[in-house]
Amino acid sequence: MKMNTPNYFRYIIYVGSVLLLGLWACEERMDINTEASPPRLVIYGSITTDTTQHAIRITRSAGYFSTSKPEGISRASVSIRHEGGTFALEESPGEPGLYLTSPNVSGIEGETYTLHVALDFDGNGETEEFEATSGLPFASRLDSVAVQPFIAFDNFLQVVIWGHLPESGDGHNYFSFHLYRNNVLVNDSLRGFSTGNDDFIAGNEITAFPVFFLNQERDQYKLSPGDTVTIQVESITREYASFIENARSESFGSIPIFSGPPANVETNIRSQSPTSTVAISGFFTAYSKSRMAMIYRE
Amino acid sequence: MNGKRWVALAAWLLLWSAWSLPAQERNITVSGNIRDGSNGEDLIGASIMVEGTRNGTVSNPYGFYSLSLPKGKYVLVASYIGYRKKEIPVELSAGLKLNINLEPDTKELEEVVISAEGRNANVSKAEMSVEKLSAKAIKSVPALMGEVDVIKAIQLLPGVQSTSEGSSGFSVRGGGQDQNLILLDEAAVYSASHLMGFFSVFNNDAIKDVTLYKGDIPASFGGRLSSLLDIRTKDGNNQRYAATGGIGLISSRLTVEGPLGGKASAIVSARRTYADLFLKLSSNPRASQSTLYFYDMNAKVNYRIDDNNRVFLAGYFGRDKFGATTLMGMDFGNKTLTARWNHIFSPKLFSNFTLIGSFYDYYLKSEVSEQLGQELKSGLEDYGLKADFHYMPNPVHNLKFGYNFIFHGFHPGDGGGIGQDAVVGRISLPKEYAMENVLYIANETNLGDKLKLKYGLRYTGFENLDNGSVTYHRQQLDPRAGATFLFNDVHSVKASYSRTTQFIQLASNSTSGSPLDLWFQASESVKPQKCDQFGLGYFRNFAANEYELSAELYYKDMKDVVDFKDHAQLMLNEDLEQELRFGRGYSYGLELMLRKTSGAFNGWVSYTLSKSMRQINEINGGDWYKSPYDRPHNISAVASYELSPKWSVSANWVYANGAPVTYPTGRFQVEGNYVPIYSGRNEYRYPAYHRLDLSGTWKLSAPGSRFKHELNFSLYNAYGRKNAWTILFRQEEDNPDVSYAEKVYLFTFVPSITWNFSF
Repeated sequence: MKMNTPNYFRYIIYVGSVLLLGLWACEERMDINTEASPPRLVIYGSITTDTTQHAIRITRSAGYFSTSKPEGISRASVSIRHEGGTFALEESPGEPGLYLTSPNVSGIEGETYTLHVALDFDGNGETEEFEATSGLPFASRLDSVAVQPFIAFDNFLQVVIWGHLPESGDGHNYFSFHLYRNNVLVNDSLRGFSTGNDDFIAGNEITAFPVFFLNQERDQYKLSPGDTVTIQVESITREYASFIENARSESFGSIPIFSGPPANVETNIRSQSPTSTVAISGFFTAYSKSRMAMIYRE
Repeated sequence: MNGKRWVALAAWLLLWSAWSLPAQERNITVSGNIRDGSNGEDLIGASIMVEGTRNGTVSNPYGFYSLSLPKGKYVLVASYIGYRKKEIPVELSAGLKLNINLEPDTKELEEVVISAEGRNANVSKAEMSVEKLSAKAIKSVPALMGEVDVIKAIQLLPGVQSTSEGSSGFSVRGGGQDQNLILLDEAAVYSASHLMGFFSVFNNDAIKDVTLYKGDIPASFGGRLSSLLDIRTKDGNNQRYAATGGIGLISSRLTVEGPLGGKASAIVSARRTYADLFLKLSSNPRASQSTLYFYDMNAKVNYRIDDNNRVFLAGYFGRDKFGATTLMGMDFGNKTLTARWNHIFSPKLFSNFTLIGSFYDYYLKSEVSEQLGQELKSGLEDYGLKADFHYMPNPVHNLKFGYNFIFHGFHPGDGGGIGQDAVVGRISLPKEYAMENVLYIANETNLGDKLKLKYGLRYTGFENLDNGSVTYHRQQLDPRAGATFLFNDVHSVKASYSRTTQFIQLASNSTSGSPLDLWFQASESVKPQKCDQFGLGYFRNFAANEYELSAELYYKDMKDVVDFKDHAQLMLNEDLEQELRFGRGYSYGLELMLRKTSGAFNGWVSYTLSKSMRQINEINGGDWYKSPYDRPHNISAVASYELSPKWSVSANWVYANGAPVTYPTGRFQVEGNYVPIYSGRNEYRYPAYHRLDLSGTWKLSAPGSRFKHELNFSLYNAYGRKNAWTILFRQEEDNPDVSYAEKVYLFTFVPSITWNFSF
């Protein structure tokens, strides 16, 4: 398993450019006038191998400079079907637009899941239907995890994993990684998402692969002896990896030296009506999880 | 017109030129070189006229001229801006070899002369959309951090603009930066920038002549869609040993030149920045451990074998070194080599044979740990051969023809983990090769005193090679044509048409250009880009050619222009062609320019009104969108004034509409962060760009002294305009539901001081 090399070198260029530009660049908040785009239907959610309440969030997009939270869309009919049946999702009574399965639902590796949503988005009295499909990749197997000093920078620790890649049908595996400290998620945002793939590696062994670098000078990442460190490796689809990479990149903004033109992040949600004019954003995916925990000792 | 007809037309042109050959029997030819008498440098574009007539010619890029006249007595007048005019009485009864040395005008020598060529060349020459800048004019333009830069000076010309703040990338008439063919002594320079694009690779001390063709590109050149920037370096002083140099805030430079025996001369010019020395003083450990510098060197030697044979060997070597701490870094650079042989077959037939090598590569390395160590290298190489002939049978015809061969080698990428413990795999993309075989012919014809016609044809046979076999073959004919009507010596109209074709393209996921961009070739699925450009111009000189006024209209129709799909992955991509998108585009504009070419006060004011659009099916929903270089209003004012024998001052001011930009107009939430929903491609603009730069030069040496030295003070962005380099969109940390725009700007009030010397 490896980090994505092009992304890695983009990171080097980014660091270099920041250093170079740091000599001259200044930043200043400014006002720009843009016309808010018409609202889009946003559907985002997943089903995983955990046995839990899986969530689909349905919202209406807002103008970029809106200051309110996304407006949830109620009264949608939401379900997820697979070869073995269909799960109906119910809207959370406390949070409009959040639709949940029952707590005993879990995804199965290798199966294909289809999200179905029916709602009247534009208020014209007609219900429109939307669907998205995702396979659920096989999970990686984690054998062990360790926290080690990171030689390059004294103030960093690295979290390293050993294990085995899943046997994937098309020979490509994509991953995302999450880190919990005492069962609290550390990289809890899109910008903290860590992804990788195995494009250029033969075999299926994960050997001393560093997945996180923790700056011990920042409270957010600081480990203390006795802390429980849990690594979660998610086997994700190529499409979801691409969605996350692009969404994360767009959320940062573009730097002329190493960014192409900004572009909307592609969704896999499709309207079932060929005449629909509803613009859609978001993503539905299925993924598997593997976890391993350790107690950190200095 | 199909290919056969073009071939027939070319044959007819050649025959027509040959038809006039009998006339030469009645004419006597005077030929030779026109040179700078102070250092022996050949003068390019110097004028030689028969006094009292419009008969005459100009020296070619090697300083050679040939003029055929009926037997008789004449007074030949040789002139070049910045030099004393020379009148030479001749009696032509037999062929005459006449080398002419022009002496610099000591008064004008102290002044800045904007353009280096004959005095009314802009009006009378059968070419338009061409800009020439003298090295002295380039030097007079206030420079960022005191680094005199030919490309920054070119960006002040009408129809030319920078691709982003401080960048040495440039766009010509709405074209992309990869659509400019940049030649240094005839070798293509693929990445013309240092320090991530903020400085160009050209050392002004080594430059003799700079010509930018914005359209109406001669048939002898091609391969890029938008422009040709032809840079020729000095040959080296063959009169005496001389040195020029300077010490500035970020770099120092030194040029040494002189004669080698009686027949040869040489020049070596080098410079190096030392920004990294300042980094070491930084309290930030990351900055203090970093490396950041570039160096480059130009070297040239020439040897005059005899009156009819001369050889040149020229080279450029430059490199950027850049390390963010000691753990990661990159370096990149160009190398060019040119070997030329000028041979005069007869007083009417001049030839030049050139062997060319051009190389570019970059290397990235990271050694953050044994497991994560990675490297990446990529590059390209060109090997070329040129045979150019210039035949001047009589005053009516001026025929150029030749052959050009280029072999391209592309190394798209080889990289991955370093060492046995690397957790990173390796990937090596296959090398790719291509060949271009070019034949061209072009003729200039004078129809009487007032009308000059120009017509030419360029044939390119392009072959994409894989393991020695041709996988793609394309034959392309590019016609070129133009006409000049001289109302009188100071007043003309011109029209031109040119087709240009580009067989190799740049894969760039960067709006300002990056040293890591890749070049790739045309293939079955990547058609070459084509452009048909039409131009119409009016040219008027005033006050004994001291003032030049020009107005040019152009229209460009582009086909198979290349863009990239959204979120394209260009680096180490085995399937690069899947990332490409193809479409069409157009640009049109009006360029107005008034310039004062000499005198104590000189400079120019230019205004460009233009539009540049693209349409690609898979981008922007297939709707037309503004090209990244569409900036409708563009104004440049450049002025230099000789206050006294000791002091001169310069200023330039630029204004342009902001570059097109795609702004977020909506947002949705993913994993706690907002992701933008964008407007149509390039639907908005950055705020308008404007900037004033100032400089002053204090001459420290006494007039006439051999050792000359001066201090140059410059102030870039004198009124501190915070021009947007980019605009980022953020979420407030304390209130993540509030998004805001943040402008990133560079270079406000950048003062610098440079000490220059020569002896």
